[in-house]
Amino acid sequence: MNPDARLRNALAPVDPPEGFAHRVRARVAREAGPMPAAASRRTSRWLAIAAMVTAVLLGPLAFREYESRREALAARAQVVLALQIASRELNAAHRRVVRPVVTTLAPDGDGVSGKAGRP
Amino acid sequence: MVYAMNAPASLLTSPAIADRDQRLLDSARVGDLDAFEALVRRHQRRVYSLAWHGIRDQMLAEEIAQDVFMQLHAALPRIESGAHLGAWLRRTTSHRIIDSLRVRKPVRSLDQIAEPQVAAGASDPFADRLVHRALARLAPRARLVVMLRYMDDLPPTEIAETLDMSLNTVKSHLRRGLLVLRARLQREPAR
Repeated sequence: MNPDARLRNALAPVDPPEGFAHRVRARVAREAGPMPAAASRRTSRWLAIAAMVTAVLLGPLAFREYESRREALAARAQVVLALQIASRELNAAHRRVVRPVVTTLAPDGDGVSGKAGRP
Repeated sequence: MVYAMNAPASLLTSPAIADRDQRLLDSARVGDLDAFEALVRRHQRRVYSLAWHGIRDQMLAEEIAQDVFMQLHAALPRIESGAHLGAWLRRTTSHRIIDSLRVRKPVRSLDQIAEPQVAAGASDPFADRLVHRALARLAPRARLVVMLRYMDDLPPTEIAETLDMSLNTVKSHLRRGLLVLRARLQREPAR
């Protein structure tokens, strides 16, 4: 027999031991999780459901939170505005009270020090 | 030339077989374990034969074959077709055998290894043992080149793809491997 034929004969197909496929199946069932594609599909479905439930449950709460925050901001803006108006009025009143004194003293240039300098 | 360049690849899947594999693949992908077991049954002989002839250790060959099918289960979404499945199994098994041969030191002599069940009408076990002893002297990748050529009738181009080698390397391994084998077989005729 020529070497090529001897090689082919020596490398003839061999059956695996009895129950091989069953053992592989058992190992897959034991070690492997669900099929990756199926698992990802299932995960996506559950994620969508969880997102929907979260939106339904937390949506009104989030909206109320948003509304109260908006009202608080508006109130703060009103307070700031009121303070600005009050401040402006006070400034105007202050100017009205202080200006006459300043204008009466102004012509001497140094009226206050002149009086204070003489005994 | 020591080999026929356009020899038919006996293990290339025919359209009908590929079609059946495709249906089983589709079912296995969605978690049908019966379909996956059917796929294992259809390809176990090819995978186990390659592992057994490469390693010559029944337990290790079964371990490698099981690991290959476990890897297949994890890779099912990436297997595109029945034809792709055949090439994927051959490639994965070959690389697994090469890795195993690289790290493994022979713990038993080939004479102590029991022969597995071979189809009836098979060849002379003494002659086979001589061939395997000669094959065992080849480097792991060279051994796989010769095995794929003579087990699967794979053309060198497909062997190159399977083992991630250049075509010239495959041809060189084949030439040198067969020269060594022939020399040994002629020097030690089968008892």
